[in-house]
Parts: sequence; structure tokens; C-alpha cells
Amino acid sequence: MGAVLEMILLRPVATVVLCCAAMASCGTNPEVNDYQSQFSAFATLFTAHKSSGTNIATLDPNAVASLRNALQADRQPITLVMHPSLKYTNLMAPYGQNGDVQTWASTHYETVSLRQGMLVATRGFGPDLMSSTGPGVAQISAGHGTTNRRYFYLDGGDQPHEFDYTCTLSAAGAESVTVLGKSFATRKVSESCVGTQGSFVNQYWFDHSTNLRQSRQMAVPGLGSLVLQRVID
Amino acid sequence: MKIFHPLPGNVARILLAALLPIGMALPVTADMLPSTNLSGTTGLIDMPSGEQQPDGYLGLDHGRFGPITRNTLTFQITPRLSGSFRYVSIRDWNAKVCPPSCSGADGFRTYYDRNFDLRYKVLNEGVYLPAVTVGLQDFIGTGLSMAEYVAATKSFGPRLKVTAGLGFGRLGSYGAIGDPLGPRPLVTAGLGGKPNFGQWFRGPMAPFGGMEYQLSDKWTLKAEYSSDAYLDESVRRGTFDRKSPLNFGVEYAQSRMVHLGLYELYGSTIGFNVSILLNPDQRPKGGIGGPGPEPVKVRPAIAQSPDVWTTGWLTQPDAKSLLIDNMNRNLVRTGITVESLSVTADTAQVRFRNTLYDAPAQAAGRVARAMTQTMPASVETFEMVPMVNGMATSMVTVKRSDVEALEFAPDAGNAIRARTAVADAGGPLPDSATNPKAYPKFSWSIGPFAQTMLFDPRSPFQINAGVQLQGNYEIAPGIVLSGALTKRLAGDIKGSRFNGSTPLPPVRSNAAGYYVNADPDIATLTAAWYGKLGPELYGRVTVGYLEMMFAGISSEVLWKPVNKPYSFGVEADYVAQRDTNGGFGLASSNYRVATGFVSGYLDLGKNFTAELDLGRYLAGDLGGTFTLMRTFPNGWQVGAFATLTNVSAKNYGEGSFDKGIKMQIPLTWFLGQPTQSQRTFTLRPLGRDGGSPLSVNDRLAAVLHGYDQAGYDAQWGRFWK
Repeated sequence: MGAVLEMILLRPVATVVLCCAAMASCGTNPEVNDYQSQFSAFATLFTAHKSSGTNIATLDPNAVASLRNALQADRQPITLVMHPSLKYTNLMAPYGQNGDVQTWASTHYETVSLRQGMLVATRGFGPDLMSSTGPGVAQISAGHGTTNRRYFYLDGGDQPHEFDYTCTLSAAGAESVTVLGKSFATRKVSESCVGTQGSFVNQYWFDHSTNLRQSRQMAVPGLGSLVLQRVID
Repeated sequence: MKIFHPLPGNVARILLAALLPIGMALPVTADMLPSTNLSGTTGLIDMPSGEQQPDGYLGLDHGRFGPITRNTLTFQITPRLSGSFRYVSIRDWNAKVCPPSCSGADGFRTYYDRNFDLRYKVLNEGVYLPAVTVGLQDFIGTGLSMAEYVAATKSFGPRLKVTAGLGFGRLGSYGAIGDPLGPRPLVTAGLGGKPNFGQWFRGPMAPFGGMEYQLSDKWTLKAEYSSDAYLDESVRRGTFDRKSPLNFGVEYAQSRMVHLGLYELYGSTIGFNVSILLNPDQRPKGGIGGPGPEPVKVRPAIAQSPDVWTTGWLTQPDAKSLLIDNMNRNLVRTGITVESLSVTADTAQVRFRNTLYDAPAQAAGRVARAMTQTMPASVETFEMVPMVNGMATSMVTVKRSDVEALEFAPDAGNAIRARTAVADAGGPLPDSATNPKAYPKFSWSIGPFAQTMLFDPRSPFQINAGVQLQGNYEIAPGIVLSGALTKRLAGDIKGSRFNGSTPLPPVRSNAAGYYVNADPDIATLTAAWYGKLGPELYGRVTVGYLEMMFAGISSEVLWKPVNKPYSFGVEADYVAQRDTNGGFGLASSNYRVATGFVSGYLDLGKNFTAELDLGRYLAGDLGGTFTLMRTFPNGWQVGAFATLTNVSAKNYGEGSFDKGIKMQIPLTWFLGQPTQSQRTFTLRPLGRDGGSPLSVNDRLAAVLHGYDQAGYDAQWGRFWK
């Protein structure tokens, strides 16, 4: 490379901001342009988070089929990321690669970082899995034995915490899973984890050898698990 | 080089759903939390208990029964020590006594009183021993609510707590069993503001007690025996009928933060209590939100792609400006702007302005990620310097290969911190390119504003509200023109009884005059210069309409070492009092004064900071202000200050000397999203002329806060956010 090349960055469509409505504030000064915050701040504090995410299973099958067709035509690898209890559902595409860890991002820049399908980190969710260590996919696929997991995250005061777990793997039989309207015959493996901060179960659905088609993996202890479905390989 | 877009447009259009807010991260333990009483302190219904709140908690409490209303702010200063400020009002105060007696305190229809409390937990609850707290209620001042007590609380199982205590003063006024420490002298409050040592734990002593039973996670029953006879309110003034010492109630926990109580009190009246309990240390939404970062881009191995590692770009004349452009495009979502850049074959220093992240570590992390995306492969050392008002603050230095290697390492935050240096950034950057778009920079905002006048006995809460137009024009690094114009839309501030009641020049006591007359108000209109005078040495000069009441010139120098727990500053100002009409004119009194301070700042550890200012105040009085703040890593600050000057208590007037409570609240705590906005509140019992300093925007200690090693370390984990 002889010279620094001019870079091209594509970004999602810019948001149109409506400004100066009623009691809202506006301006270009980032330090003070969120007077709106003051009004909403107390409200958000005491309001339970009610959300209206999309449950794929309840969608019109034709709509799901046309979405899958569009994604397949696009040929970009796609992972569907869901947090059932938070009603979070979004598509993610590859965004970065660091060694064997691939980072996937939604258009809202929530990201999940996966090592051969195993969840390593999240960003953009607020309470994020900052980093973690755990078994490799081959060990999970074997479906027996024990594993050790370490999860690192930041609390609401930005202080780091580590939660450790010991887990037991078990084969959970054959199961058919539906990923965005398409069925896959899979082999299911369960990983039951116990630590000082409670317990949880990770689940993995392999469609062949060590290829993860679907998984339910702990993200942030206390917050819950993410469901990851590989839609387009 | 090309960063690819996470999702192509056609996919983006058919996305299934959007990001949704996410709730608490930490598992919630289901223990029986200490509850608060009608006085806003940890306790039963009207009586205190032996418990205290968790460390650092901040309580806001509105309690009301019969004619009595109490609004209380309580702070758990340390795990064992808590303090409260309370504003009490009693209706029908003189209904029975006036006429004939209508003078002095009997002249008020509704009586208002301010209380300060302190409580210390001498014993933590054990397997056999109860929690024991010693309390001083309303220990400064006029003493109407004054009481001292020792209370013990013991849990029996997960649902039952029993409290027993001994009270003095107000809490020793019913069912006394003796006065072991001798008679209680009368309070000689005078102008108030001084501790009533002579009364503490003297006079009749009476037992009190009660129990709390938790029915479920949401509902709690309480019953108590009160040792408060309400002699003044009930017996003498008949504001309510105290028929019985027994009180009963039920409390409902709407959430962990909000508790509601309903009570039957003293056999004759109903009461309720709304208690909001905040934990400043933890954002309710948990980890900080906002869009995730750009991934780290890892360089290919030199053996694999030797051409990527060549340094021919060094001879490219526009290399630096291209790199600045690329950095700024990469940082477009972050509110970070690169101002200047210097780069050699192996080291790049980026000086940037951060207008979004409240945590300097997160800004540094975002810049480091952008550098991995944009810097030529041979650049191994990243130097990142946040610029504040044109001043280079601290410099964070990391190795690019560490950023690459540790992105997904276990405990990645501590791992990268161990390989990061935080040091002074030094002076101007030699051999650098600057971003021509960084200056001049104009920003503006329009939003609501409010002025309040508190604690006037005729009308204790007066407020003006309106809109404020604010503008900032940074002509060049460190040269800032700014102004704020306010227009009142509604308000009821009429005046104050404090006008001109002391021999001091009315530097503050005519606040009401400004609040009434200054409309529209040129709140500020200033030109400021900021500069780095030397290593770790900063300077500021501000000229113009500095604040609502004063115009003139303000200058300061601050020595703030990056890696030391202390800093020192000197300030010198010369100001003239402004006319009350909010325009450009000066007051007809022609009042001019030179003020100034020598200030020392010390980080005491354990999240406490102290500040001592010695010098001359606006009224020309000499003295000092001591401020003690509890500073939470996320930017919350809660503390108190006191000012003593050579103005006598008599000349100072009611309150004897200036003191108050200060709070700084980062809005990011509420929002769960990064923002540098914060709100600062000062709660003073009374605003008087003695010991009053000049108010200038963007003093150095404030704008440079957090840009030192301790500031980075407080929230270092966000480097990877």
C-alpha cells in the first residue's frame, strides 16, 4: 500500500429529527440539547419497560417466506438474534473479524460476537456481556462432560464483575427447528450451568457435526439468554 | 481499505424489529429492606428505627398526617452515617392562640421549619444483637422538632422486625420514665444555624417501639407506640387531637424505588407517605446503553501482506488530513471529532473533542477502535488526547497490538488497563495537521428554564419558568463566545422578606428583585479564553456578563496533575453589580468588588472529595468555604458545604452563616444512554449576602473534572463499550 486511501463508509439512512415541538428542546449543543431528557427522565425511571417485539411464529407465513427469499437473494450471511423476555428480535450481518471471533451487527448497532457460533460478547444492549471464556463448539457438540464458564460485565455504576459457572453437558435428542420459515433436522445438546449467581441452561441445536443452526446462550447473568438462529450461511 | 456496512439497504428495509429497552442487570435480592417513616428517615411510622439505608442511597420523602407535612431529603453518607434535610409545615398553627397572641411564632398561620438530622449506626445487626442507631433530629436551629434517640431493631426471620428505643426532647415527651442526664435547658436559638449541644440527651427520657411485618414482597404492616406527645401541635395549639400513642399502617412497595404508606395515627388522624429511594451508584437500567462500537480491525501479518506495512504514505502530502477525514467518518456516530493529528511511521497522536460520552474511557476506547480502522499498519502506538475548550488534557497511550489482542480477552477491561498509560498531554502538538472543520464551531439550544425561591415563610416555594436560548461560538481552540437569554412565561416569584435586612451590601439578598424585573434577561454574555499554560497547568479568563447579578472579569489558574489526588487553583475577579432589569446596565448602587480565592482540591479516597476555598467573597468579606462531596464513579455527587467569613452572625442574619447541600446529577443515570448533560442543585436554607461567591460558568475544575487518571479509572470498563 503506497498511499492512504480515501475511505468510503456506508451508513443506514439518517434519522429525520423533528425539533422544537411543544415543550421539547432543540439545538446543536450536545451538552444541553436534551432538555427533553429532564421531562422523560423521571417517567422512564418508574415505568416498566413495555415493548412490542415481533414474535416470528405469529407472523404471516407468506411474509416470512418473502423475507427469507429476499435474504437468500442477497447472499449475505445473516443471524437472527432474539431475546424472548425482552421481546428483542433483529437480523444481524457480519461486521468485523478478530481472529476466530466474528462480530455481527444490526442496523441499530447492537452487536453479538461469536466464536464458531459460541457467544463471546455483546454490545449495544445496555447491560452487555463485556467478555467471557467458555468451551469451544467441538466440546459442546460432543454432548458430554463438564465445562467452565467465566462472564465479565459492567454494572449500572460501570464497575466490572465476574460471574463463574460450572456446567454439565448432556445430549438432548433429535429435534426439528424452524428458522425463519425453514425447517432443519437437528441434534440438541443442553448445558446446565450452576454458579454463585444462580443457574441457567444453554441449549444448542446442531444441524450437522459442529454446525450450530440455533442456540440459546446466556448473555448477561440476571438479564437472560439470547436466542441465535443462523438464517443464511 | 473499506469498512463494509453491517446490512445492505434492501435488508435494512425489511428488518423485523427495533432495539428495545432492557431492564435491570443485577439479580435482585429479596431481602426485607429498611423502610422509612413520616420523617423520611429509616424507621417505623412516626418513630425511628435502629436501621439505616444501604450505603450511598438517597431518599426523597413526602409525609403528611393531620396538619403536619414533612418533605425530607436523606443521604446515606457512609454505611453507618446518614444525614437529612427536612422542611416541615404545620397548618392551623395559630388558629387557637391568635388572637390574643399573634406575634413572633404565633403570627404564622402555617408554621414552617427546617431540620437537619444526623444518625450513626453504632452496631450492625448480628445473629443475636440488634442494629443500633443513635440519632440527632433537628439538631441545629430553632429546635421545634428537636429530639435525640437510641433505637435498636432486630429481625426475627425474613418477615418480622421489632424496634425498641429511648427518646429525648420531642421523642421523650410522652410516657417519660425519668431524666437520667439531668434537666433539659431551654433552647436559645437566636439566629439559628448552630448546634444545640446543651440540650442533647437531656431532660425526660421515654421509651418507644414497634414492629414491621412483611406480608409479601409488596405489602408490609406496621404498628408502633409513639413517645412524641406533640405538646405544641396538639396540647397547646390544637392543630390535631392526639388521643392515643398507638399508630398503625400499611405500606406498599410499588417498586424497589417507590414506597407508599397509609397510616392511622394517634387515634384521630390519617396519614400517608411517599418515599422514593434512589441508589445513585447504579443506573436503574444497568450497563450503559447506546449503539455498539465499531469492531477492532486487525492488521494482517506482515509476512502475509508486506505491502500493507510499507510506509510510503509518509511522503504523501495530504496523508494527515486524509487520516483526519477517515477518523471523523468512522467516528460519525460517536459525537467525537478529531481536531488534530500527528503521525510518524509507528506513532499517531489524535487530539479529539468528545461531546457525547460522560466516561472519558469510553471516548478513548471509541477513538482507539477508529484508529485500528484507519491508521496505516505500521502505526503501533496510539496516543489519544481529549481536548476540553481547546486545552489538551490527559493523554491515554495504548499499543495497537494490545487493542487487537485484547478485544475479546477475558476481563478485557482490566487487561487493557494494565497496558495503558495515562499522562499529561503536554503543550501544542508539533508537526500536526488540524481539522479545518473543527473551528469555528457554533452550537445553540433552546429549552426550558426555572428559577426557584425556597423557604420564604410567606410562600415557601416560588418558581419562575420560561424558555432559555443559549448559544456557544468557539472561534478558535480555547476562545469561546457564549450567551444565554431567558424569557419568563409563568411565575409567581414576588419578593422576599429578606430584602436589605443586614448592613452588608445586598449582593445576593435582592435575588427576588432580579427574578421579578429581569425579563427578558441576558443571563450571561461572555467571551472566554482557555489555555494550557504549562505541564498540568491551565488558565482561564472570562469577560462580560458573568451571571445574573454580576458583570466583570474573572480569571483563574489551575494546577491539576494527572496522576495525583490533589490540585490547586487561584482565582481573581473584579466585578460590578448588574441592574436588576436583566439588560446591559449596572446597578445604580455602583457596587464594585474584587473577589478571589485560593482553592485546594483533594481526593480523600473511598469516593469522597474535599475542597477548601479561602479568599474574599462578593460582599467584601474574608473567609473560607469547605465542601465535602461524595463522588460516585458514574458522576453523581452529593455533599454539603459551609462558609465562614469575618461577617458576624448578627450581621449575617438568620442562619448565622452560609451552608447548604449540593448535588450533581448526571442525566445518563436516568436515561441509561451516554450524555454529558448533568444538573446541579444547591439547596441552601437561606440565601444571604455573607460568604457568597461569584458564579461563573465553566470554571476550570469543573470542565477538567474526570480528565485525570482517577477519572479514567472510575469508569475504565467502558473503554470497550
